[in-house]
Amino acid sequence: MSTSTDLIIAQDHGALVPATDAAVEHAGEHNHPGPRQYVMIAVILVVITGIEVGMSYLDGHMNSTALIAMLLGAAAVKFVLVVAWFMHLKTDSKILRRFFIMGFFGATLLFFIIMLVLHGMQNSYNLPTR
Amino acid sequence: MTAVAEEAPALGAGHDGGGHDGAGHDGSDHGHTTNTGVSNTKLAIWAFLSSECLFFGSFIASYLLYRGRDTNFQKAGLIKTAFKPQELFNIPFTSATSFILLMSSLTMVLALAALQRGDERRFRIWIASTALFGLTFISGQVFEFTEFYQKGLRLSSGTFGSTFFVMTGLHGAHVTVGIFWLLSLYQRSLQGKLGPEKAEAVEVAGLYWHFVDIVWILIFTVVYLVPYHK
Amino acid sequence: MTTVEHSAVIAQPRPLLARPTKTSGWTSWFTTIDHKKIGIMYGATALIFLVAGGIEALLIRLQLWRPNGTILTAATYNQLFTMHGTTMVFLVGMPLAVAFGNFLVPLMIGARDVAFPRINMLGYWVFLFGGIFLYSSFLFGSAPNGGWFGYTPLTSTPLAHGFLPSRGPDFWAVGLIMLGIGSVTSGVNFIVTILNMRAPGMTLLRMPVFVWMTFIIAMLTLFALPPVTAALIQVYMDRNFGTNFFNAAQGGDPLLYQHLFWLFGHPEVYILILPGMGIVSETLPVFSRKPLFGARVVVMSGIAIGFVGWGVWVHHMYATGLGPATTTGFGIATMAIAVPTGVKIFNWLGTVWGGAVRLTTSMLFSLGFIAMFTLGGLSGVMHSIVPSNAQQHDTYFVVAHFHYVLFGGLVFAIFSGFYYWWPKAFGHFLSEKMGKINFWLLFIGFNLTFFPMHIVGLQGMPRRTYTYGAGHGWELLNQMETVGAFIIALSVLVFFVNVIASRIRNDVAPADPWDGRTLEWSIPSPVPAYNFLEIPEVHEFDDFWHKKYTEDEEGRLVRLPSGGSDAGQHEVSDGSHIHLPSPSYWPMVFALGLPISGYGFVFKNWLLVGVGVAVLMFGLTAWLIEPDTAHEDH
Repeated sequence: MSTSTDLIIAQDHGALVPATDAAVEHAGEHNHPGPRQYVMIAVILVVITGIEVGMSYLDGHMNSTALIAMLLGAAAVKFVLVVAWFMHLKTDSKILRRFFIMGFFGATLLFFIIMLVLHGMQNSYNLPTR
Repeated sequence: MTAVAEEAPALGAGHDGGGHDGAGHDGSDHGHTTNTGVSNTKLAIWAFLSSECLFFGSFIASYLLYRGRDTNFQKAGLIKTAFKPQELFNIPFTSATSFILLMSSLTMVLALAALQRGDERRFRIWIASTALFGLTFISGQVFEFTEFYQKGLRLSSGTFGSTFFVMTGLHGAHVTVGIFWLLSLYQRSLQGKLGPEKAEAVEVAGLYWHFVDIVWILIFTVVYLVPYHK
Repeated sequence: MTTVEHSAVIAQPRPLLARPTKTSGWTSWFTTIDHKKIGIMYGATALIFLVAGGIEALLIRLQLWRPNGTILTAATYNQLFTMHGTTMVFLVGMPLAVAFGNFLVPLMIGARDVAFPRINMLGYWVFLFGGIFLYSSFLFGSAPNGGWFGYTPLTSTPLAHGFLPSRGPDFWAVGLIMLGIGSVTSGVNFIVTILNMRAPGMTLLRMPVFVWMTFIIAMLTLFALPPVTAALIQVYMDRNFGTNFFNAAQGGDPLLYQHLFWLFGHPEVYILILPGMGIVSETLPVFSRKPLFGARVVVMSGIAIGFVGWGVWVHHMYATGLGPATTTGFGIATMAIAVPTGVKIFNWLGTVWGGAVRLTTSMLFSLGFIAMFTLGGLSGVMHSIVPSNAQQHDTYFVVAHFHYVLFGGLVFAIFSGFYYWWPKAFGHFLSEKMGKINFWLLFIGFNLTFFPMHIVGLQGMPRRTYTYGAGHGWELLNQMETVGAFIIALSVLVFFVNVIASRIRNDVAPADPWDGRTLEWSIPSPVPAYNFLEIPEVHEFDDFWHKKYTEDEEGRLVRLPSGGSDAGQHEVSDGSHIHLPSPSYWPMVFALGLPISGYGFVFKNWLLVGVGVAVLMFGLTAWLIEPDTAHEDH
């Protein structure tokens, strides 16, 4: 089909103009998942969302730290599923993955440090003593 | 509005990539002769999205920092009123709109797959439904904002009102930009300018759309679902 | 919004106006998407803003000529030092880096243009309009007055509460958001260009160091701009919509702003200095006739600076009382970043050592860069020590430090770059004689201005204060500084005279006037629109040098007969068969929408915001339906 022609063209060009990096990967890796996988991923996403919403009603009935951890875990799974499958990071070039990981984990790390610094300093702000 | 303006370069990028390798090495029109093997446009959108991570990260961090602070301040007698988010939120309603946004990601990938197959009719159906789902989500947000406003929540209501409205509002602005982008793709397809060979234009728009979706996945959990302390 | 006209425009199948086709003449500068012309425009505009920022600095120095000066009021002084800082960082430093990057990166990697020529053009017009927008605030009597850092709650308190009695902070916040958009677009463009458009054989480690440094600053720009954009949006909302992001009375936290700002602000320092490092890494080897000593180490140090630069922002905030654990950690990181920086300095010294040094103007500026930057770096290490920082905080010692780094560093390197690449850009040399006057005046004036600031700073003279009392023993030193500032101004004037005189004299430059090492010297001066008639093939670092020279058995350099230049080819073909993207109006129209909305946001005129968005959407739509190259017979 058209994706596979794409593949051949891409490889042809690759042969004509030798790519230069050791870590080069041809865009020919367009073996994107098909509609069936997409729907399956969507079903999983829906199920997780359902569980998440359900869990949020357990507030007060269970250890809240565990509840928060589970909710954040569920969100992380959804996040990874969308990024890996819908955004094709699972099959696409490594360089794109590196970019996103740098942006996302970089942001997470930096803001984690900020929170740590501000909270360490200002617990008294959140819990004022009279 | 600022967010709208900020997105626009990405829109430009989405289009620019098509024939731009004319400025490239061999004058070839094909996008695959780059050093990395990734087309310029795709690399650009991913670079842009990784930048956006820090943009939303800043607002989510601001929100998390102030989370629950209003209540504590009220208890300490430092401020008069504090809204309790858990009393304000309508979880079933927001879950439904979140679900719709999640499903729009599915229709988006289906649209892309249809175009790659060369099935332009299906492509238009899926892309239109993606835009429609996005529109539904925005309408839900407008409804929610109105409801909160009627309950008295303002931009100036402590730190909760500020962080909540600005963060979700900017997300909504991103979704709105995405809807315009999708509609322009629909239009191009109607004009017959969007065949399988231009699938990358759709893929790039899709990456943006999914990104907006994953931001909402985080916001939904962190803002709505994680319990607030009483 | 503008849905209706948006779709109406889309429905038109052909471009809205006749496609601009001219590539010469003055009108072509408005529609050009040639990376070289855009680079030159960036440079020229930045120099104009340099003059504006310089005049502000001179006024500041006049005010501080003697104690209790009366030339400026406190309010005017606040506007001037705010605009001086904002101008020099956002309208001079960053654009000059982009100017050099734009002009040089495609030439150095063997490409015909950047990856996205029209987005490149957009970046320039956003920069120009953003700069004009910021400066137009003087016309409204509300120039930004809260410092280039715009600390909250000073800037974020609503106008009605009267902390800063003007719309200055609104102009500042909206203007910087606008400029940030331009920076991010040019950052993305550089990243894609450098990763994707290298000539065959130009692997990452064979890239010239300048290209590497541009890549690193592009990455830093990409990740540093969003936090400050977020913070500026929050400031704007606080001022105009009563939000409480930084309003301590309602639970807001002014320190959050400082974190977000310096999370941008510190990488920004490296965004400003790394291009300078890149420039001298190109000039020093050429004028020493030796390869860059440890070129890979220079690149690795640059990368290390790029990473560690993210972990030091709190050293701007030691005085806020963040506690011993935090300040210690960031203090150590700050000391650590001196290591890769120091490594680079030794690399440059190692390059010059034992070389056949030619003391051209460009080389003088590069050597000046090493010396001045080292001094600035040393006082920087002093700042990393927390207790001594507490003594130096907010004094002229800090002003001395960062002027040694950014003026002694960046500006010296930029001038070095001007003298070095001027023949390539314009086809004629700048006068060496005037250049040497330019250098010595700048060197003397610079040290006279900023060295005494170390002393008055350690004696406690506070910065950002419009005057000082008599009897502290600061009079003489301040007078020296003012004299120095005017010598700097004279030096810059000499540069401009040199530019004009050299243009008139037209001392024509050959393709490779300095016996260069990188690809841009293999093509004619000035560079033809298509850059390379044939895309070169690269086999090693400093490839062009190795095409010109080889070594005999005893290791002596021998010139190859072919000479390496492909200038001969250009006589055969005029390159007219090479397809280049056509000029366009639309990125400029798009960019024009931003300041229009900007005024709307500042004056809370939503109609104006709408008009701006409509212009922007109009430009964007026309841009999208316009093909990359005009349809014509080739």
